[in-house]
Order: sequence, then structure tokens, then C-alpha cells
Amino acid sequence: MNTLLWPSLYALLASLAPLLLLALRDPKRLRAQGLARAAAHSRRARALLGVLALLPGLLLLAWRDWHGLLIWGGALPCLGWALTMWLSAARHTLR
Amino acid sequence: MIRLSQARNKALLAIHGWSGALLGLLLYAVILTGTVSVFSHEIGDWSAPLEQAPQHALPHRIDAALRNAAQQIDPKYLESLFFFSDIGGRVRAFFHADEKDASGRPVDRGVGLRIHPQTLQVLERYEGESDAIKAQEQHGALAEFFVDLHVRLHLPNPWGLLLTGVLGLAMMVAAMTGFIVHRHLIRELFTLRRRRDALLTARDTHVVAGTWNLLFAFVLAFTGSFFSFGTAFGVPAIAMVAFGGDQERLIDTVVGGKRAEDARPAAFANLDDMLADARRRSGSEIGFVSVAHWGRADATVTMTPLPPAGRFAARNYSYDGASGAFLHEKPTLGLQPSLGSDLFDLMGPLHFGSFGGLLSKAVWFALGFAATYVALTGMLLWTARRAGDSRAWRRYETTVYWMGYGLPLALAWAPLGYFGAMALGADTHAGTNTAFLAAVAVATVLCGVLRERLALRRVLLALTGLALLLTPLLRGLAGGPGWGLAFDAGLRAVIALDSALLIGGVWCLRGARPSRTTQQFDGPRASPA
Repeated sequence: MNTLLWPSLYALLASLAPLLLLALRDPKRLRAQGLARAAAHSRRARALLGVLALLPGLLLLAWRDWHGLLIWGGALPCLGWALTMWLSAARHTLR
Repeated sequence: MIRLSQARNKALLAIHGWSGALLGLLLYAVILTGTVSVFSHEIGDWSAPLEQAPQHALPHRIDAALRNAAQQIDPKYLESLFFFSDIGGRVRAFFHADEKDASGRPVDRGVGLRIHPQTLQVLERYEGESDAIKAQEQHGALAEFFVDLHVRLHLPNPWGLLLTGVLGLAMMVAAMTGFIVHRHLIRELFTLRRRRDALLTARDTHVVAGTWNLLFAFVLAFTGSFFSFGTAFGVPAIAMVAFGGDQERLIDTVVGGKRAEDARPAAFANLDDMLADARRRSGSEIGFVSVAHWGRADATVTMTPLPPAGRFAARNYSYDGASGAFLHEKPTLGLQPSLGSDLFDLMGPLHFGSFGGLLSKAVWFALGFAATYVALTGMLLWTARRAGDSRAWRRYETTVYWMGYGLPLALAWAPLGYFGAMALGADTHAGTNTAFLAAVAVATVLCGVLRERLALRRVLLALTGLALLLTPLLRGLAGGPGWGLAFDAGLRAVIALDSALLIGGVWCLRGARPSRTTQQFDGPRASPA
């Protein structure tokens, strides 16, 4: 693989962790699936995680890594969607 | 997100739904075939490999082969030449003259060659109009079938391009109205309710996929419409307004770099030397070469390198064809760098996803799959809400199932027809088309026979899965290399696509099994009020 594409993969991994945390403790999702609402993130925590999820993309933008930015920008929604589908199929919560 | 009155919300939802209902079937076809076409290069390499791995750059020693060919063709076809590395690494060369047909439409007529990239032997030779030559070529039939279905739904120009352009606009309208009417975009990003009302699940399924895919939907729709309308409408319209209908003069003016005419005969300089010089200047392999007026004093050679790493496009290098001297370096459009040229260069990479090799293509494939899912779930949701209202809506719902699950079946059968024709020594275009249409016919019959939607979906998915599993086997029977040979020869596309088909086939067969989830989704509709 083109070594110039590695930053996009690192950025994707860096975004995946906060995205996963956002999804696992999303208040609407927990409510809809009848899970413990006390586990839900506060609004502030959600905002912070959202910024952390987008930060790698901003870094790619600042770095002018256009290929990396496009790959990150395209792959992250796919992963987010796949995560949502997976979490909806079973009861998932963070204890 | 955006606060609207109930009436406005209702109106926008109606626009969103009805645009999808009216154009959704064709839009789904364009998006699905576009998703497949992301890998059209790889499909070509997989379906028609040579003995060694393809290099998607030009051979370094091509001059002798082209010079020999130029001596054997009608001199009127030396007016223009282009060549590039194509399916399986074969060099596609087209010596041609720009003519006009009876209706005044520009056509290219000449001699097309396929040259082996290692031996430089002419493998195939065709003569005629460019479209007719394409129809004669056997190796490109499968990849071209998918691309043509996506670009113009196999309709003649300009109608096919205009239609796909309109569909692109419809996709933008649907994306924009969907964004506006969905009031809790961020709040419901991770919410998909599966254990309640089937319609609610259908709504959430569509909204979640659409939300995550929203930005890409805009980009894809815009760039797709740009390509469709640009060729079918934009160029002729601008030519009509500003160039008296002369499209060639418009293109020469916008692209720039055309030299003053000098028809005196002159020997043609060595192409290999010019290629080497362009590679040295650009630091990249050469992807595309065009030659104007071979054998004349005003011969011009324009070389387009493959984009350097990290860039979306490369600058073009122009040479004096008679002396081989370097003339200038220029952007795609015009003679000086410009925002317009940069934006033009961006359209292709954004639409095709080919800027980062296989990784970017894989991401674009996933995004295309998501967009297809959005289109299909939207139509299923719209019809599920109304199928209880009237027989017409129930028929439309069946049509959605026919297209939604029948088109993937037909696309999976197309390679069977291609390889079947290849094995029998028949025309691969006819074989591909016949298999595709046969699958469409089978899907149509099944829609008439199987009234129960769930059973219809399962049968169509199962047939699709079987077709995908059979394809690698038929490819081998048609003379394609086995995995051992492919691995030794570096034919990665053969192994990769065979594997993808096998995985896809198993996935379809699994999807065809009955499950609680599908029971819920395709369960009883809400009864009419």
C-alpha cells in the first residue's frame, strides 16, 4: 500500500475510539433499546467525544493531506453506520 | 436541527418522498452499477488478464510498434492518435480523424489497436467509428457493460447522459430535503429501533443510513451530474452560444495549447525519448498520450502522467512531434494554473475514488453500497406505508422488490454470460447482455409467481448468491488462470475478485435464510386509517 495513506488509517483508528464511546453511551439509543439510562453520556461529554472524533480529520486538513482527508472522511461514516447497525442488533451497554 | 412549520415540513417530506418514488428505481440502478464500476479497472484485469500482471502505465518502448502501425494505415487517420494502458495492461491505441456524421454530430473514425505491453505485438486491429470498434472488442465487454449501464443506462447519447444527469439532481434534492426534514440528525445518529413497529424500524433503517451517508451523497450526486450534463448538454450548449456550434473549437480553446497549422510533411520524432523526458520531468509514469498531426511539421504530442503521490492530477507536458523538443508544461484546462482547472481535476477523483489506489476505491465502494441501501430502504419505506391503500401501490411495491433484488441478480449473472461466451468462442458483448436480460426475465417471472414479498426476496438473494459462487468456476473453465498461476504472475485482481465473489455469494445465501429481523422488516404493514 502507498505509504502516504498510512496517516489516514491512523486518523481513522484515532477517530474510532471516541466514536465507539459515543455510540455505546448514546442516550437516545440506550432509551430506545431499554438499557440503563444512567450509563448515558452527559451533553458535555458527548460534545467532547464528538470533537475528539473529528480532530484527526482536522489534523489531516491542517497537514494538507488531501488524500488522507478524503479516505478518513469517507471511511468514518461507513464505520459509524456499521457500528450503529451492529449495536442495534443486540443489547450493548458499557457497564 | 432546522425548525420548520408543520406545513413546510410536510411539503418538504412530500418532495423528498415523491422524488424518490418517481425516480428512485432508476437512481438505485445508477448508484448500484456505479458502486460496481468503482472496480471497473480491476474487473477488466480479472476478466481478461494477460500472462503477466498489468502495469497501468505505458511501456517504455512503444515507438517502434506505433510507427510500424502508422505506416500501414490510411494517412487520413494520422490526424489524431491517443494511447493508454487499458484492460489487462494492453495498450489501447486509436488512430483517427475527427469527422461529422449525417446529423452533424462529431464522430471519431479510424483504426483501433490493442498492443501487448511486453512483446509490443499488435494483438487486435479494428477499423470504423469508435463506438463500433468498442462493440467489436471482446476483452473489455464485461467492464464496459457495467460502466455503460452506470453512465447512460445503455441508452443512446445524449438521452442516457441527460437521464443520469437528472437522476444526479434528484439525488441532491433527496439529500437536501432529507437533511432539512430530519429534525434530530445528530441526536438519532446511533438509534435504530428494531423491536417495535415494523414501519418504525424501516424508517430508522433508512434515516440512519441516509444520515451517515449524507455528505457523500451530495458529493457523488454533484460530480455525477457534472459529468453527465457536461458532456450531453454543457459542451454543446456553450459551443452553440459562443462558438457557432463548433464543439471542437470550444474544446481547443478551453484546453489550450493548440499550435498554428503547418501541413508540410515532416518525420515524426522518437516517442520513447519524449516519454522518457516526460517521466523525468514529472517524476511519475505516463498514463495517457495524445498526438495531433502525426507526420506533419505541426505535430504535437501531449503527455499526461499518472498523478504524483498525494496529488489528484498531474500537469500535462507538450512536445513538438517533428523535433521531439519540449514545448511547455500546462494544467488540464488553459495554459496557466487556475482555480477552474483545479476544480475540474477534482471532479474525477471525487467521483471515482481512484486517487488512493485500492484503499480509496474500497472506501468509495463502501460509500456506494451505503447509498444504494439508502435508496432501496427509502423506496421500501414509502411503499410499505401506502401498499395497504391501493392495488397500484402494492404493484409498485412489487416493482421495488423486482428492481431492488432483481438488479443485483442480473449484475451477478452478467459475468456468467461473459465467461460462457468466451468459453464457446462467441461474442462476449452478446453473451453478457443475454445473461443480464435472462436474469431480468427470471426476476420478472418470480415477481409474478411469488406473491409473498419475503419469499421473493429470499429466492432472488439465493439465486444471486449462487451466481456469485459459480462465477470463479466458470472463469476457470473459460480458460482463465487458476489461483496458483495468478499468484506466480502477479495477477492480484484475479485472486482478489474471485475471493470477493465467493464472500459475496456466501453473504447472499446467508441473507436468503429466514430470520427474525427480516420477518420484522417485511412484516405486516400498518393498516389504513
